[in-house]
Amino acid sequence: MLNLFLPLLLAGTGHADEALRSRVVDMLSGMDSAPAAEQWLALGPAAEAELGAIASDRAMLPTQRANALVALSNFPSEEARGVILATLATPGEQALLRRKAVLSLATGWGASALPQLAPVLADTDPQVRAATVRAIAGLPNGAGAETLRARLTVETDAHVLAELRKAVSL
Amino acid sequence: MRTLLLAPLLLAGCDPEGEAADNFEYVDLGTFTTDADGLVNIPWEAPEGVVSTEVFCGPYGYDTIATADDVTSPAGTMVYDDEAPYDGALRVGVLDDVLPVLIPVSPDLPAESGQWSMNLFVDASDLPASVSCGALSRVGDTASANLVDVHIVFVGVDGIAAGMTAQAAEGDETVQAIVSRLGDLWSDLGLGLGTVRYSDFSGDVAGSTTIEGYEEFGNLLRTTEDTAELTFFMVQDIDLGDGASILGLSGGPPGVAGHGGTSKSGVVINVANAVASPEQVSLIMAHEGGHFLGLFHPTENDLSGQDPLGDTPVCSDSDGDGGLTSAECAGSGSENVMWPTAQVGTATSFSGDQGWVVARNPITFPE
Repeated sequence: MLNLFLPLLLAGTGHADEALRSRVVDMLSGMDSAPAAEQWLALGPAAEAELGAIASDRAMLPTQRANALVALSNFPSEEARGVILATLATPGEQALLRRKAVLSLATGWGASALPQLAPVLADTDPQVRAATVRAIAGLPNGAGAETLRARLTVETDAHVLAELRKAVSL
Repeated sequence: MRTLLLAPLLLAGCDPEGEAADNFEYVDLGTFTTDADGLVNIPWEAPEGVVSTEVFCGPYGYDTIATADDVTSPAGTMVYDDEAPYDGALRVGVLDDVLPVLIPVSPDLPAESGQWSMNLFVDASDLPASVSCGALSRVGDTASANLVDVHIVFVGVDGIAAGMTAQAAEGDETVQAIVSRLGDLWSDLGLGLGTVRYSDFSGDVAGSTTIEGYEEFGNLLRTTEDTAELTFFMVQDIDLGDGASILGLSGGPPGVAGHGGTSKSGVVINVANAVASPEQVSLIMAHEGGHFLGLFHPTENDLSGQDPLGDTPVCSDSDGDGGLTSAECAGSGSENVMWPTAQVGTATSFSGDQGWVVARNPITFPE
């Protein structure tokens, strides 16, 4: 009997997945505004898998993947963290995605993400390094202050140095 | 102190270049001081034959917001009341630093000559506050076919697409496809591209190519020249503070037309998707440029409001979840270029009323 209903059940699930996917993509494509954390959480835990799939999908637009990475910080599971770390570990991944990955790690996982964030201070792209400085500076209880001070003696880019000096003086 | 220091920027001489500059006149209204509740009345005169009129006040700083408590027409009718901001034919923002108010943004409230007035409310922590105001009115003819001059400023985006520099843009396939598609989208408004010119940003490129927050956005727009053009700044990313990327942002809306140097004097476009989808960049430019010229989202997808136009579709929350999606609004809004999420290939149309509004903006001019 179950066999008879299984295709119907699967078809129903597929439809629901399709609707969720469509909604998630829509939310990742805001012209001049972005959804708040509550709007992501309202989609329920199934949204996390969709966001992870989109973040890893090179066929999606860069800003959609970037926003999926950011939105994953609302679902701070080990799976979500794995997606973000995989982005940082992918050779040649776009700077936009690396910037969003460090931001998401800091937002979603707080001070526990410092060991993964610190190496990104040596990224080849100054914009990524600057974003990492801001992400580490925002960690609770000044958890990254010492890491940032140490970087001051190494950094050479004027824009990143300005971010570092601002961060350590906070 | 910030207000006092920045005031000269707003009041800098207005002698704009561009075809549309012959159509409008700018009047420096002077400095106004609010009362202890943050309120001050701003009167301005719209001349005979007025087609559109825009008043703007500021700067009051990025940490302060302002809006209009109300706006009254020359006939003495209150045409905007912030107690019911979506009930009438005018829309007024709640904005940081500079507040522009443009008339018309709907055929239901055409510009008329005579004295208009706005009760400006500045929500500053230190009151009374002083603001400088100016008014710009367009006179002359209107037409169904119009042009707008466009200035595209590249802010360190040649790493995304090599042709995104002033030198390469004219001959670059991607940039020209973006501009051409922008023209196609705007043709549904009855709007064509006049002169298109390209520049490289001459300021702090590293600090301006990824916009983070309204202050960086406003500071980039402050670099606009006093020009009767629509200025697009092309940047690597725009993040308003929550980490997420948005695709574009217009001063205002509507923007301060024909007067450079304010934090509402242009439009910023995120070109991160330019290689994967140049069509999307065209759509973002058409949408944000539409905002600058006086258009709003037909329906906000958080259901917070709708535009003041009678012929744009209104989408209702059919699934009752408190929000709208593009799929839910298929046939009732998401085909419009001013729909709030990017629907490449689907959002291709404008309404007749949207064309009417744009045809009257101070920086558009009959073809």
